[in-house]
Amino acid sequence: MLMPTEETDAIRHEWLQLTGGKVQPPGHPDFYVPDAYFTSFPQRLLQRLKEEPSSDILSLDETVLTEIELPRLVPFAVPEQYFENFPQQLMRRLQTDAVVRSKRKRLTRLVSYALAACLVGFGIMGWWMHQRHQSLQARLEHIPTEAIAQYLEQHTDLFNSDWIVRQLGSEAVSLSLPENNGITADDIREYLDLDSVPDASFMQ
Amino acid sequence: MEYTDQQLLTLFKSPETREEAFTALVRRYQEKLYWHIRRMVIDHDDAHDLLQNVFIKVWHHLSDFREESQLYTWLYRIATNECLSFLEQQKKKRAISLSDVENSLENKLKAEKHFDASKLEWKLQQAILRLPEKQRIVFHLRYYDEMPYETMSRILHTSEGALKASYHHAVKKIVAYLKDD
Repeated sequence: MLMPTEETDAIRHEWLQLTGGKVQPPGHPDFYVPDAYFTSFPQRLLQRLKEEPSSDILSLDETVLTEIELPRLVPFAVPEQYFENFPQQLMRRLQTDAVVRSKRKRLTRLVSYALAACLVGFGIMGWWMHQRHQSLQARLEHIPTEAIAQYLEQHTDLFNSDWIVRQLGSEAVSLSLPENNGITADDIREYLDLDSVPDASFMQ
Repeated sequence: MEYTDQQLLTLFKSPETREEAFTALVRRYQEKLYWHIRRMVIDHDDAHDLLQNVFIKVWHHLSDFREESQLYTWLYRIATNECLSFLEQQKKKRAISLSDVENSLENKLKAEKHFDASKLEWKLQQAILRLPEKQRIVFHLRYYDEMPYETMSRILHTSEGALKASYHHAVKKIVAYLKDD
């Protein structure tokens, strides 16, 4: 049974306030508790712990296993001389692994060198192309457009077969010779010298 | 001459004595690690491969080993990780559930040369195989290797309390299995 305290009075007062004083606070049920239950409880608990060590997780394990006498022997078979030979086997494998690792390392190094060389090559080629383009442009900048046109006029071969073939593919090509170029049909005939070709009479 | 772990580590750092130190280290720890692995994977060939992998890792990383922790704690940690990775790989490889892997381990157990289901030591192995992987490791380290919880805690990076609880549950399950059987 709980002993009334100051807090009990406060709670009772609060209860009455909340219910408007209409309902009395319910009392504690009068459950049966054996005499001196709480005073003797610690001793009884200790007694039980002594009688039932299994309830203590931390001390149970060895006891249980000793009771049923479990064997500590592991019954697996191991090949004869296994432990005597194991270190040699292991060293052999380490040596093989070292050879494989070294080969792999060398191959990796070669591949990385090749890749690096390719990258450097591409870099140099790119730089060279850029420089060439720049220098050509720079040189052309100093030459007047008329001079370039004149150069092209003088150095372009009208009968350059590549040029003719390229131009024939174009619809815009003119089949006649440029006007005012001072070349007459007789000049062309003379240039071709058709009479000197034995089987060219069919062209006349 | 019997070297201490500390001396082995010093010898390993020198190229002239590296192999000698490593061989001595292998001789010292091979059996402990082998049994730790073997109990987990059951099959000798698997245990052999894993043991080799463990020592190959040791060979490559021993120079980086920080000497504030014990060498054998470090070795057990590598071996444990190898076992767990192996069991995980097996699980993925076969694309089967955990229970199937355990069944497969049980099959391996039954295929053992001297297997005798009527003998207690084999029944115990069958009971252990029914435990979850990490609980199995805890049980092995405690029961067979008689390892203190403090050391186990450093190997498995788990609190001592959790390890004790895990071992407690493992023992309970094993005893229940053996009593039912």
